[in-house]
Amino acid sequence: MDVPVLRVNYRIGSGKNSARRSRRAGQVPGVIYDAVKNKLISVEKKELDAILHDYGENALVNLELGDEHIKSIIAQVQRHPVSQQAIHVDFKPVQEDMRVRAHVPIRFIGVSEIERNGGIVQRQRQEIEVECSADRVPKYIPVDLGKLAVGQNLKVQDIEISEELSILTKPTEVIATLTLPSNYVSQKSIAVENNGEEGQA
Amino acid sequence: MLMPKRVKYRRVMRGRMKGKASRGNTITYGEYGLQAIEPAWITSNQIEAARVAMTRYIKRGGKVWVKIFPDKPVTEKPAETRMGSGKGSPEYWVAVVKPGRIMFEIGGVSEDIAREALRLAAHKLPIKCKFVARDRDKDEMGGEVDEG
Repeated sequence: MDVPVLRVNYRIGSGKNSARRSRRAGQVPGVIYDAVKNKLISVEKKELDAILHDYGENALVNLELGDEHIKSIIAQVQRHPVSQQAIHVDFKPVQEDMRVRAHVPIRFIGVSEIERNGGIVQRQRQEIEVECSADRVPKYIPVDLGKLAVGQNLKVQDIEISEELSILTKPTEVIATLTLPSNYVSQKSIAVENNGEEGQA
Repeated sequence: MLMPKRVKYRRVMRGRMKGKASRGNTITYGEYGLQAIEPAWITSNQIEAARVAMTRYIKRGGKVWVKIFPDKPVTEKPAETRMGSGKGSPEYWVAVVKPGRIMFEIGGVSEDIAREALRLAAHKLPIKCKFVARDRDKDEMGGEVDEG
C-alpha cells in the first residue's frame, strides 16, 4: 500500500490568532501528537484536500517536517459547519504494523435499486469503529443492501469485512432500515380500490 | 402545527443567535438536505408550509425528515396597548436556527426531484438556504444558494 507524502511546516505561535493567520494564507493549522510536547504545524490546504479525497479521513501519511519524516494517521479533521472545508487537522504518529482504532464511514451499495422499487433506506449509523494495523485502515466499508427486505434492519453483525479488521461497535447496533415512503399506497390496495369502483359502476 | 406538548415555563427570554450550528450540521437520515446559511427564528407555520411544499412535490415517492422543532414560545402584546403591565401572552412557536443547520432532509428520490422539492421549501423560509448532498465531493463543490 502506497503511503502519500504530505509536507508540513512548523506554525509560529498558538491559539486562534495564529490559526486564523495560517488559514488566510491558504493553509490548514494542525497538530502532531507527541508524548512530550505536541508539535503545532500547518499544512497546505490543497495538498491536504487531495489526500483526504483520495485516501479518506483515516489515511496513513508520511509527514515531511523539515528533515524529519513522521509516519502518522489522520486522527481527526475538523470541518467548517457551513462550507464543510477542513479547518484543523490532527495527526497521530504510528508504526506501520501498530494496531489503531478508527471510525470508518459506511458506503451503501444497491440503494438505487431499492429506491427504484419504491423502498427507502433509512440510515441509522454513518460509520463504525474498527481496529486494524495502521496501514490497513480502509477508506470506507462497503455494505450491500441487496438482500434486505422491507421492514428489515441491517445490523453491525451482518457486515462482512476482511479478517484484518475487527469491529469494535456493538454487533446489535442497527446500521440501516428499509422502509416504505410515508404516504405509500401499495399496488394491491390500488387494484382493490379500482375493482370496487368498477363494481359500483 | 408543531409545538411542545407541555413546557416548564410559558415565557422565555429572546436570547442571541451568535455563532454557527455546532450540532445538526450534517445529513443524517436522507440523501439530500436544506442547510441554513443565516441565523433566524423559523416559526411552526413556516416549517409546516415547507414540509407541505416538499411532500406535495415528491408525491408518493421518498421520505421527508424535519430536523428542527419549534420549542421556543414568542410573546406579543395586544395591539394598541400601553407599555408596561407585564409581558405579553405567548402567540406562536419558533425554532432557533443558526448557519449550518440542516433543517430538512429528503431520501428515496432522484437528485433532480430533491433539488426542486427543497427549492420550493426554501421559498417558504425567511432565510437563505443551500442544497446539500450526502456525498462530500458534491458538498465541496458547494450547492447553489436559494433565496428564502
